[in-house]
Amino acid sequence: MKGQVWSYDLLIAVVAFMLTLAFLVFFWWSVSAAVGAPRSEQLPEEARSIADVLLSPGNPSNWNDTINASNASTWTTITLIGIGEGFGSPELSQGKAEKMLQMNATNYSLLKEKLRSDFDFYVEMREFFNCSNATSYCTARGITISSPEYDQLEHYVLVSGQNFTLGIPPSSGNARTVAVINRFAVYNNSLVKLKVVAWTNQTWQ
Amino acid sequence: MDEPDMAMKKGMVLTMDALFALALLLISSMLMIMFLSRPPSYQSSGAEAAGDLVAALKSMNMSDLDNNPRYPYANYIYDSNLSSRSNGTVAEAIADLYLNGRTEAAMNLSQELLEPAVPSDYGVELLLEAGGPTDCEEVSSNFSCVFSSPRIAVRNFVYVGRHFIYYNNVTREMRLVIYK
Repeated sequence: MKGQVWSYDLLIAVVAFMLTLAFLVFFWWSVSAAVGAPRSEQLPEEARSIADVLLSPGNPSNWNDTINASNASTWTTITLIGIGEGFGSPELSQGKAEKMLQMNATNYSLLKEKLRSDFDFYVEMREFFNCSNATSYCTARGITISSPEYDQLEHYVLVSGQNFTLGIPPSSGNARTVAVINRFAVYNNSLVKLKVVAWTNQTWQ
Repeated sequence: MDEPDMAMKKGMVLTMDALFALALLLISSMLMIMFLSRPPSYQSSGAEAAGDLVAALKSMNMSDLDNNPRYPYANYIYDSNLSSRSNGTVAEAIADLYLNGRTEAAMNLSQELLEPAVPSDYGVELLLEAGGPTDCEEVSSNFSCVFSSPRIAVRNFVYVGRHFIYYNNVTREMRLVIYK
């Protein structure tokens, strides 16, 4: 009987301990998520900010002529980086887009800094055309009638023969939260959509 | 004497089982909340899109669209001189076509540029201050409906981009409306 009472005491103590531990872990997780973590509104603001910076001409406005894209040490002259032709103009510069693609391949972290972002980002530029109305153009781009892209209206913009995408896709970075903003501009006399994604692995308040 | 003891023992064991089950349930549900919960994603509104698209319409020139394989209808208008504003902007060409009675050409040109660009969960309409008599919603208005793609029935959010065109000594407003 004495032994049994001791066992019940132990069992009750174990249960109480498990419950307390569970509450402590949950409390700790909640506190650590809140302290030092960014506010949830920050991410959409960041996406908007990256898009605004990207559509600006940058500073200096001829930054693409002053740097070597494959040598990050020459990027110091750039204080702000954008692919816009000029302020207030929806037109994007082909030269700047080419340079930024090369910079993205050279040093993503530094490019992120030049875009003045604290978060990771992903950008893609797409244009619109219907392959059934532009068959020869699509064939020249390698979009044949049998390819799934043939029926789509949105297609990647090709810059120096490659799809214009910058940064790291959220899926590759195991993103916890993403914010997407779509902006429209004119590139190479065509209407284009710039999809800007800001993402993070951090938890939120 | 033995029977109540057995009953008490059974009761204690059952109570302990229930407590254990409760503890395990609490712990597993908390762990699930911690690891499986994902904050919501944020998708941009159409606020920027309306302004951006109007900026593009007033920036792109019809002559620049000539021989652009992406815009066969714009090519057709340019090559056939349908618009007297062939050297003007796309916005001016649309206004010119509409005001000269070529409403279908104005609609087709607007459609070629706008319809694929606006996300499918948004409705879009292009209006021109051309004396109405009704707008795209069939409401009496000074604005005429140049192009409408009413892909959704309800308008909870409406975003408007505006541009002013000087045409035949009259300043006319062009409105691009995107709604969700």
